[in-house]
Order: sequence, then C-alpha cells, then structure tokens
Amino acid sequence: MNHINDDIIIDRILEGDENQYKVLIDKYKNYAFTLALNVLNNREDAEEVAQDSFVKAFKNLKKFNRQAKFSTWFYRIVTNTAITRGRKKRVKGIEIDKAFSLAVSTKEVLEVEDQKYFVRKAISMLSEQDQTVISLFYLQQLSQEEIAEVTELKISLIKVKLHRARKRLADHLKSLLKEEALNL
Amino acid sequence: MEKISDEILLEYLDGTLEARETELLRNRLQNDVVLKVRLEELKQADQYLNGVIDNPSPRFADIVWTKISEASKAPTFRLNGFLIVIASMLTVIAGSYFMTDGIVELNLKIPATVSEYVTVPQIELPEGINLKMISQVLLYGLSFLILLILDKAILKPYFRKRKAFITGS
Repeated sequence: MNHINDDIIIDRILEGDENQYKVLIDKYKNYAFTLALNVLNNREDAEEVAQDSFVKAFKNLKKFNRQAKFSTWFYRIVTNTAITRGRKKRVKGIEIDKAFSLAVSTKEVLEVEDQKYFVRKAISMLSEQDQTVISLFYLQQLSQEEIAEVTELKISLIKVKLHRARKRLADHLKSLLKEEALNL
Repeated sequence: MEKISDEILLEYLDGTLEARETELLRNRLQNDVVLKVRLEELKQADQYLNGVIDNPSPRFADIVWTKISEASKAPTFRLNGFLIVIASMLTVIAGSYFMTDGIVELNLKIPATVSEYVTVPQIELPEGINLKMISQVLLYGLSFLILLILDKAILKPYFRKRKAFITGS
C-alpha cells in the first residue's frame, strides 16, 4: 500500500506538480539521514549526502522504471552516495569523524549514556558493507530481497552478511556495555 | 540438534526456524545457561537496533528544495552554438580534403595525339605563387575562424551565464 502511494505521488510530480516531491522528502528524510549516518559516522556529511541523494532522485525521477519500490531505488542512491563520499574522504587522507573513538573519556561516556550512542558506536565498528546491510535491515525494515536490490548483492550473500553483522554487532555491544560498566 | 550456532539463534529470533527445530531449541535453552546468555545478547542487540532512527536538522527539507531549485536554474550549453562549430569544422575538414587531394595541376600534360587537334591554352602561374602554401594558409585561417566562432557562440555566453548564476545577478 505504501509503495502504491509513492507511485501516485511520483505520477503527480511527473505530471508537473513538483511540490508533491516535498511529501517524499518528509517521508524518507529520517531514514535517508540515518542510513548515511551509519555509513559515514558524521552528522554534517550524512546530512549533505542525504540532501544530495534527494536531489539526484528528483533529477532522475523520469528514469525510475517502477520495477522496484521507490524506497528501494532511493536507498540505493543514498547508499552509493554515502559510500562514495566515505571513500573520497579516505583517499584525501581525511579521517572519517569517528564520533565514538576509543579515546573518549569516561565522563563523556557517562554523559552520553543513550541507546543511540551505543548503537552508533557498535555499527561504526563494522565494515562499510555490513553497516549498510544492518542499517537497511533494522532501520528501514527491508526484507532480504529488498536489501539485495539496494546493495546489488545476491540474496544468499545478504543472508550470510546479515547473520555475520548481527553477531558482530551483538559482540561489540556486549563489550561496549561491559566497558561502560567497568568505567562506572 | 547437536551444536547451536548463532545463525540458528538468529533464525529463532526472526521466527524463521522450522517448528521441530524451534521445539528442540526451546528444550535446550531450559538447561543450557551459556546458550541462554548468548540468545539474550543477540536479542538485546536486536532491541537496541530496532527503530533507532536519527533526525536530520529541522531545515533539511528546505535545504533540499533550495538545492533542487538551484540545480534547475544552472546554465546549460547552447545547442545552436555547438551546431555552428560542428558545421564549421566539417567544412574545414571537407575543404582540406579537397584542397590537398584535388589540387588542380594547371600545367597539364596533354598527350601528343590530342594536342594535334586541340589547342590547349597554356596558363603559366607567376613563379612566386605557391598553390600549396595558399591552401595551407586558407586552412589555418579557417581553423582560426572556427576557434573564434567557438568562443563567441559557446564559451562566452556560457561563462557569462555562469557568472550571473554564481553572483546572483
């Protein structure tokens, strides 16, 4: 039902009512931002990537062939843009702003005692591809088939990656929470 | 069910494990403390991750809309200018081909049999005139003309528009 609504909105945009695109922006901005943030670990970069992704999607709306859902197509744009941005920064020698470096003081850890904090930190320890797969699974609630479409990987590989990433995430969270408990 | 891997525990959490295996796992969990702890770790990770959505800045949508509006106003190349340049280049190429390949030999060598019946006017070019050099000068001149047309028809209008776009005038 959701994707049918998106199709209706896209039809209206292509007919000339471009303001309807704001509906899609409002609907997907949080997910796009969160997905980019999980890959880049930097709010400013994530916001810029999410914004650029919306602009790219708007420019290429005519080419969207409706074989996949709009969300799947759009998340692919966000993922690729975020990964490209991350790689450019690494090539330039710019340290990706790891908001959760292990050098963070105990005091700061206590002050930022928040579920999102530990999740971000744990996700940042995963590989780029695992970060994407995990984000799409948990945050966007996509199925494995949809994740395969977004990442352009085989479904069998997605299943393996998802299991491996979830295991690692559980281990990272466990060690982070243990570390926090010891520092208290 | 011999060894319970993390994959099996994850499938159990996702509800995708077969009924028989689910039953066996539940029996094992009742007695296996280590397994129970591991399941809890995986479950906790799931709970932490589910629905953790971050919000961008409040002006996010406005910024996106501004970027979209600016992108649609960005200057594009003039098609007419391109066509003029391409047509000029094709003219030069065609002209250079005919000039180099089809230079007319004005001092014709007429066969003896023909010259008995036909009086061919003898055209002698002055010694200082080098036809090959003239054609080369013309070619270079045409090339220079093309560069001028490229500048006037395409580059100048584009950069003028770009300047106006950037300065906002």
